[in-house]
Amino acid sequence: MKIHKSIKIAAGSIVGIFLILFTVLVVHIATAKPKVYDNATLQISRIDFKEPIDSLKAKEIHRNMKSIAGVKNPKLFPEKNVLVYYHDSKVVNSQQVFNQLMAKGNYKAERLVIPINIASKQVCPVMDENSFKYKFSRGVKRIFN
Amino acid sequence: MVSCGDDDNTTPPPVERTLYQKLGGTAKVADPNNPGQMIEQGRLSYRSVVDSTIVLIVADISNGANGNLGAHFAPIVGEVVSGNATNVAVLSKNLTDFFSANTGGGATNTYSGLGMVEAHDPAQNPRMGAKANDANYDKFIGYVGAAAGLNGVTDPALIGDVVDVLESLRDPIVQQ
Repeated sequence: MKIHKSIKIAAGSIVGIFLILFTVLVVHIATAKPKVYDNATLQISRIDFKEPIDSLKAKEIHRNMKSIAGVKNPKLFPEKNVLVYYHDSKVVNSQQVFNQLMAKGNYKAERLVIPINIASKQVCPVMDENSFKYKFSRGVKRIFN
Repeated sequence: MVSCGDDDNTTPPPVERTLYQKLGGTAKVADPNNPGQMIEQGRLSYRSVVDSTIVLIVADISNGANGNLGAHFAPIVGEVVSGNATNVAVLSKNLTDFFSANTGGGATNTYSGLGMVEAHDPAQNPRMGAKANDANYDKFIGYVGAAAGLNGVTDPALIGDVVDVLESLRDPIVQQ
């Protein structure tokens, strides 16, 4: 019957279009390039000194910081008694940097630690990690990468 | 005989350089943070200013103190690592990409982050600690100016160009 044939053609077309779109989606996810960060493991940390810092001590602190592996670009603010520095989190974390600096100079200082409820505010997620969409994309990426 | 007319000697007006070009443009230089890799001088200039701006902001973070941007930027000091990059690495890249792509470096730099409204609305961006007001934004522009000076960008005209770009973004960013 004509109606049966029309329905078959329509159903077949819908299935075909779905398969094509699904294939396009899979290829798109598989070939999507991940973001490349200039310094993906770069972390910033701060040490607050509880003693005055004169120019001699400032040079000493700067020299000591530069000698710690993984530390980059330490910046001391003597007027604020604050030291801010970048470090490679794969090489050294802020507690280790603090411990090493104290061992070198026995300074009166403490690490700046942000409350966990603030620190856990991670980077803005593009997708909800609990969503089907995120899990599907992650699955495809794992197959093809 | 044909004589030369005055209009044959007209020279086209000089093309004004973009801010990206003024900051170094697409000339490749060694990346000081990635030995063995090259980076466009324009992008490096922006990244250096961005990273120094972040340092100045972090130096000022103080719980309860007025005027510092702790509420907005404190999460980057947390050591929680998300995915494959730290919070500060993502922020540095986003800001560097944004300025590079939108001031003349768009051919080689792409910004794929949130729009300015979404990025600065805590309801849409969990990384934004609190909405910004005009005083916060003035403070941020001050940090950028100081950071530019720390990186050798002292030409008032150039700093003025950077401030102009920042002022053009005040409207979508200041939401309080």
